[in-house]
Amino acid sequence: MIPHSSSARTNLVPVALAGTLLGVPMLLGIGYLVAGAFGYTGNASPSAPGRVLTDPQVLRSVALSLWIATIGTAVSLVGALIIALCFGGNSAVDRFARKVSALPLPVPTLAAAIAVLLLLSQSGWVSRAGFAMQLVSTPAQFPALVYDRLAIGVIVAVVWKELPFLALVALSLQSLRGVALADAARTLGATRWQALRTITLPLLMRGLAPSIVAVFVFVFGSLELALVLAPSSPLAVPMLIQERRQALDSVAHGDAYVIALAASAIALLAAVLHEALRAER
Amino acid sequence: MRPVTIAAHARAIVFAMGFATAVLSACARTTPPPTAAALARLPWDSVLARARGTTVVWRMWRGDPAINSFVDRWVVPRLLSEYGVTLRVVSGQGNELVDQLMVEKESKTAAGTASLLWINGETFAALRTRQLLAGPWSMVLPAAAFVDSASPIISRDFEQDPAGYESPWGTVQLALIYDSARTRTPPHTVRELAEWIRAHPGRFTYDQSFAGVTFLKGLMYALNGGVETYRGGFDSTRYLDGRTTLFAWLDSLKPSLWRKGTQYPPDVAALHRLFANGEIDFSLSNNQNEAVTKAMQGVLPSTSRALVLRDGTIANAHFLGIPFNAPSAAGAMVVANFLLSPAAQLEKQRPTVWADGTVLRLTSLPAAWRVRFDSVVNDPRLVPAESLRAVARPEVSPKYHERLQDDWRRMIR
Repeated sequence: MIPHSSSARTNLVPVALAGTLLGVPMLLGIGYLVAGAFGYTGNASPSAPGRVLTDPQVLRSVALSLWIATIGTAVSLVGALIIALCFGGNSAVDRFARKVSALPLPVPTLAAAIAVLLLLSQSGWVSRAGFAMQLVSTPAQFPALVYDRLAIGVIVAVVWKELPFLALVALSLQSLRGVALADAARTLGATRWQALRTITLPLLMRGLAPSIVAVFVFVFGSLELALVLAPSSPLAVPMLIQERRQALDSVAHGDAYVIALAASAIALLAAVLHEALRAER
Repeated sequence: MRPVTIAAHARAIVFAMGFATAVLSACARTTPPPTAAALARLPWDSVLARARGTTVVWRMWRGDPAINSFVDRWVVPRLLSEYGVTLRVVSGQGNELVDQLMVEKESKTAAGTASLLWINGETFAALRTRQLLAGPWSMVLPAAAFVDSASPIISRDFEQDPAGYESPWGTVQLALIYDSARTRTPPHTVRELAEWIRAHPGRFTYDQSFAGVTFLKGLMYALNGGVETYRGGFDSTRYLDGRTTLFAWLDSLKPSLWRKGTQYPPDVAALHRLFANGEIDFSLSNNQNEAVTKAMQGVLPSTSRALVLRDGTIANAHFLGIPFNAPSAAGAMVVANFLLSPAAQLEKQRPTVWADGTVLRLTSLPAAWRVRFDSVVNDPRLVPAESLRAVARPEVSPKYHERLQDDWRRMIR
C-alpha cells in the first residue's frame, strides 16, 4: 500500500497544479459573474435572470451567435477535411496548397475582419469589380454581406481564420495514422469510398473533435469579428453583453453578467457534450 | 532530500499571500494627497508649485486620431516644458470611468489612478450622484475668467449646474454632412429631410452611438414644440408623448432608410465610411466642423459640407473633471487651466487640428487673441458662427438621452 500511496502523492502535485492553473481562473471568473448578477460587484444592481433569459432580444442574440458559431465551424471543418484529403500527399502541388491554406493563421482576428469589410461591403472591392464589369450600377444592388441579418460577412471571416487551424490538425492526423490505415484497408479489398467512409473520416473526426469544440466556443464568444461585421439587429451575444455593460444603468450591468453567465454555460455545455460523446465511443 | 509536500507548498502560498496583503494594506493606509477642493483654497502659485514634477493620468476617449494627435504632440510637451507636469493619457470614457472609480472607492485606497477625466452629460451626472468627483475647484482657474459663462450651452451640462466640479473645455454642435458635389439641393428643415429621404430610398441612415441618439433627440425637440417642451428636468409624460411622435416619424420613413431601417451603422466612423464610399448621401457628426476636418484628412470627400437644420440642432459642451481620489489634483488643475488658455483653445479650434469650438468669450480676450480666433472661425468652408448660434439648442436632462437610447434599441432597432 505504501508505494501506491507515494505514487498517488507524486501524481497529486501536477494534478493540483494543473487544476489550480486552469480551474481557479475559470472559477474566479464565474464567481465574479455570479457576484455581478446579484449586484455584489461591478457597479451592478441585482438582475432578474428569469426576465433576462426570456427577453426576446437576448434570445435572438443567442440564436444569431449559435448560427454564426455552428455554420462557421461546420464550413471550416468541411474545408479542412477537403484540404487534408486532397492535399495530404508529398507532391509539390500538395505542399504548395498546404502552405497557402496556412497563410491566414498568423493574421490577427481584427485584421481579418477589416479585410472582409473592405472586400465584401456594398462598396467593397468585389462590389467595385462588379461595377467595372457592369454587373451592378449602385452599391445597393450588391448583396448585403456585411451588417446583414445572416451575418455572412462574420461567417466568411470565421472560415478564413479557422479553416487553416482545423486543416493543420487534420493534416497532422492524416499524416500520423490516416494514410497507413486507409492503405491497409485498400490492401484488404476495401474500395476507396469504403476506406474513406469507415477508416479515414472517423479517424479524422475523432482526432479533430477537441479542436472543433474549441473553434465553436471561440467563435461563439468572439467580439472582434462581431464589432466590425455583425448586424445591429439582432446583436451577437458578446456585443449585447458589451452594450449592457457599458450602459450607465446599473440594472443593465446586472443583466450583462447574467447573459455572460448564460454564454459561459453554452460554452461549457459544448465541452461537456464533447466529453460525453467521447466516452460513448 | 525531503520531498516537498503539497502541504508545504500550501503553507508557502498562504505565507506569500499574507505578506502581500500586509504590504498592500500598509500602502493603502498612506496619507491621501490633497483634494482639488482643498487646493482651490490656496493661492494659484502654490498650486503651480505643488504641480511641478508630478504626473497626471488623464482618462479620455481616444477614438479620434486628430484629437489624440493634438493632445500627444501639442499639449503634452508644452505642459512638461512650461509647468513641469508629465501628462500621461490613457483610454477611458463613460461608464468605464464610473466603474473604475467605484472599484477604487470600494477598495478604500488613499489615492486612485487617474487625476483628470474628460466627461459631460450622463457621465457627469453618474459621477456626481455617486460622489466620485472632487470639487468645487474649476472657478479658481485663472483662465476661467475668459469663459463665456453667459452662454447656456457652456454654463450648463445637460441642464446640470457644474457647480465648480468640472471645467469647460470645448463646445460642439450636431450637424449633418453632405457632399456639395453630389447633393446640390440639400434639405434644410426636418420636413424637407423627410421628403428627401422618401425621394431617395436607401440613401440615408444614422448611427447607433452618441451622435445618432443626439440626432434623434434633436428630431424629438423639433417634432414636439422645441426644446422648451423638455426643459426643467425629466418628465416621464412629456418624454413618452415625444417618443411616440418621434418613433411614428421614424417608422414612416423606415422603408426608405438604408437597408430599409433593418440595420444601422455601429458608430460615426462606420457612417463616415458609408458616406465616403457613396453608399449613403449624408453622414452626421457631433462636431459641426468635422465635415471640413475629415475632408482635410482625406476621410471624407473634399466637397463635404456641414448642414444644420433650421428647426435646430443640439449643441453641448464637454468638460474636465477631477476624481475624488486624484493622486495629483494640483497637476490636474494646472492641465485644466492650460487647456482653457487662449493658446490651447485656439490651437484646438484650428480646422487642421480638431476644429472643436471654444468655450471662451472672445470679446473678453485681448485684441491680438481676438484677431487670431477670428481668422479661424471665419474659414469660408465652415458654417458661419451666427448661423450655428441661431439654430443651437441646449441639452436637456441626461435622463432623456438615456431613455431614448434604451427605447430606440428596444423598439426601433
